Amino acid sequence: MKTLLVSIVAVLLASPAAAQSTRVDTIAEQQAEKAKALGTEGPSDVEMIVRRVLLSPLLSGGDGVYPWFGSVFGGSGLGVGVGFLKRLEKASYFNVQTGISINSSMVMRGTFAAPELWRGMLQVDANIQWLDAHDVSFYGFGQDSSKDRRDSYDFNPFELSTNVSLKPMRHVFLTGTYAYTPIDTHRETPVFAPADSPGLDEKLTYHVTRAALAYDWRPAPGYSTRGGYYRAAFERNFESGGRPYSFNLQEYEVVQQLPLVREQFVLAGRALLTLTDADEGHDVPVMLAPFLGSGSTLRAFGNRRFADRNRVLVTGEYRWRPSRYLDMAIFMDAGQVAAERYQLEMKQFDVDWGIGARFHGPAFNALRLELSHGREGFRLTFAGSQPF
Amino acid sequence: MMGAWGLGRGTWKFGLRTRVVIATLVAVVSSLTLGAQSRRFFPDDPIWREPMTQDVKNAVRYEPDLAYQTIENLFWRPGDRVLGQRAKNVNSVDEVPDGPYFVNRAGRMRLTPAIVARASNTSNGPAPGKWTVISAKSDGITPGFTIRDAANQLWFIKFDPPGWRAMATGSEIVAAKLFWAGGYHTAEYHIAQLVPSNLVIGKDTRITPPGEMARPMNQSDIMWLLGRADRDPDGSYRVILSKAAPGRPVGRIKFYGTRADDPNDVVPHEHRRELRGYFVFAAWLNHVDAKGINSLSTLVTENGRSFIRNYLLDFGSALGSAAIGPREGWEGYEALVEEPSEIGKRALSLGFDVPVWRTQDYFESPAIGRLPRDHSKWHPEAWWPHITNAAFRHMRPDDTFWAAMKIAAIDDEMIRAAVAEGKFGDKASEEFLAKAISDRRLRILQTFLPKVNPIVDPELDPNGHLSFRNAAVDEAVADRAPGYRALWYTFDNLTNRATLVATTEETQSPMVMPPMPASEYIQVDISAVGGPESWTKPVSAYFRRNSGGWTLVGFEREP
Repeated sequence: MKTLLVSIVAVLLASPAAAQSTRVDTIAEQQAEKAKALGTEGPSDVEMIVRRVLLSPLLSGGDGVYPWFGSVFGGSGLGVGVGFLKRLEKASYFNVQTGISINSSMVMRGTFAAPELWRGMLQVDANIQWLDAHDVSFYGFGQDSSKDRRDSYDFNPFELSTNVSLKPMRHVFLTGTYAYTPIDTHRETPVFAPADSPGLDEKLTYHVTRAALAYDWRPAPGYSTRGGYYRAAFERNFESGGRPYSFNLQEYEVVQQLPLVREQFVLAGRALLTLTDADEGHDVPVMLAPFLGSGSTLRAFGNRRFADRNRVLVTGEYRWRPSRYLDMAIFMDAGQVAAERYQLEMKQFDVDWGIGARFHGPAFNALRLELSHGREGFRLTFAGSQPF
Repeated sequence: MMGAWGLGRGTWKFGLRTRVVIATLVAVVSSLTLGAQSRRFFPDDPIWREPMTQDVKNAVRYEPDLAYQTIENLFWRPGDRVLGQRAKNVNSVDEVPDGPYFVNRAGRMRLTPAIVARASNTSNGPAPGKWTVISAKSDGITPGFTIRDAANQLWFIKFDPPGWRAMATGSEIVAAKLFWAGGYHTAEYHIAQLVPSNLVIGKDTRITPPGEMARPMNQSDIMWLLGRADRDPDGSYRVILSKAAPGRPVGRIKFYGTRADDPNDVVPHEHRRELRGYFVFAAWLNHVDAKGINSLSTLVTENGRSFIRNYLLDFGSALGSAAIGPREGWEGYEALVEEPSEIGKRALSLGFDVPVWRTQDYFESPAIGRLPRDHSKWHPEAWWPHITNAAFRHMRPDDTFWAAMKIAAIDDEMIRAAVAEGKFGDKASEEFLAKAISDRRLRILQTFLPKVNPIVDPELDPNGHLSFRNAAVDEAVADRAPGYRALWYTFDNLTNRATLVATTEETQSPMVMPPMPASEYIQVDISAVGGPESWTKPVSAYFRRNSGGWTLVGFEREP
């Protein structure tokens, strides 16, 4: 009997509840309970997915296959594709991309960047590109061309090029380029006669040599709120097939950004002047002529709305920064194309204005949405780059 | 009448008397154990050390992804969905016991400026001799090395960015000392001069330069990395060395849930008061990078039992430093991603809704970086870390009061001692920094102490005198309350039932206990009469009768 009573008391006191005679016991019991069903510490399924996405070469800059989003050719709409990046020693790399846009334009391109020399002061790269752009616009030369008279052509350049980039000092960039570029264009139903659309429907072969000098003191070329960019470029376009389309091109560009109230506001401006000089008896072909009308020139006008041998563009923006990732802007563009330089004059400028939002990171622009208005109405711009 | 219970193979038969005895025993023991389950206070209350009764055997290292942590906290906000809950790891007198995240120092042990200056240091720094580079931090903008000293001790080395000598290293030291004083586990830190010739590359050390493949490290890599650090005229570099925390690294502090592999970890982290209160310390020291990645959990074995201890690390983005440069104006005023409503408002304002941080005056110097010049109007509640977390979201005024009380116990002399350890080498900057920290301390006390009923340290002496302090009044951040009201209860610890006996009022402490019926426990609800609204919500103090008088066993402060 005594044995039984002792046993009963012992059993009851040994029950979990009886173990909780102190605060420490109470917690100890919770810990003992957890110890019976321990798990493994590690990433959740969602974290694993996020890690995989972030480790893709597109976002991490690492090696491998990556998705590509961008523009196949100006005016062809959003393009998507795939790329492959392989990094090599001393900042050299091999990169190939292919993409297709919503109007079926396609591009394939590859770059091999040789190892940097002189601690990054000198780099040489080689490029190859095949482009098949559809529905490229030509409205005739001149500022008074009609919106309703539009030629549409396919543009098929193939380009082999090499660049030598020298950074002799901070902010200073010297670039020399040679490109071999056979170009083929084709129109189904020409609107303009051959005499009014030089180079279209012809097979041209260009040897292009280009030299550019730039001083860029913006913190990052992809996105910045201060600093300036000044560039002069000189280009020789030699048509080696004996066709009369050899010409020289000069381009001057000034971008200046003025931050105010610790960059709460930014006043930004850009001036761009492009001048061509055709060889004696030659002309500048349509597809290589300077143009206005795009998300980065006259924004209220269709792509390549105005084209001619010379162009001038002036843009001013008032930007404010509601967030560190969102800039807003009110802008005004003014520009003109002309056959002769003396015909460039302010009173002939076409003007547009608009408002825009830019989603960006610290050094890149991710998405630019703009609504602009000009004499041909309103226009929406979706772009992945800064306007300038 | 006979009964029979089948127990195994045999059958036992008992008489009525025996059965009555057994039934009585069962009833008594059951009532005892049920009482134990529901009792409010245990004999060992309040506990001051968090029990860690289980041996942690299988903790594996898990390094959370920083980008994922950011996205997680921005968009789906993990942790308990029910906000407003009281911290679950406080002891019965509303304090945090010593444990894996925190040790009671300020306000509980006697701190001196010398103790704060020494903080967690147990040595004078690396052993004399060559430093062997084990690995290097080649990503990011500032370089870093992991080295072994001549005594085979592991150290982490960080530098100042060019042109900002002492800013990142000094700020890290100061913040680490003050976090330690507050009670958090921190690493051992030292300021030293690095002579490049004292570095030797370990035979298996590899490096992955940006845009390149991993390869063995060579001397030119060292020089390339040092090229991104601030260099003294004699060719040496000022560095901060942090000693590897004891134990095996198993990950970082997670601010919600519990570690699946730690049996001792039973309180969800968002309900740990020291992790909620971390916000107040981080705000005080402008530690905007207060995120999990800047912490370390290690598996420590002591006395044959393993447990996980959690350290706060990497204070290079604190005070006026953003590690790679001076603190940006927005840091501390806005999160990494601003509130959508704020963005919308600013977008519509054409920019004329200008945030205060864009227009205020700043003190800037290479030694300490950039800080607002005037902190007298600083709003601690409006402070933002880069990324918030679940513990911060669950923070309540009683948690911020707790943290503010810790900070109140760190006086200006201790602050100056911590700042002196930064060895900034610029007297004016040091003085400004010490004053800025003191001013921010005052703003924290002004903000968080009066926000709840600030009565602390209740005591009931054998003569029935109830004394207490008003922390807000004592710290001179609030006016005296015209009086105090006490509601006196007998308290049944088993049923958790309080019975009101009397109400008394006095103009100040101490108050006199009215005649009370015999009771092992009494409860006293104390509130201010005529003070701020928040002071009218009573705090509850629970006393247990002991041989000589009364012992405080419980304290509750509900916001």
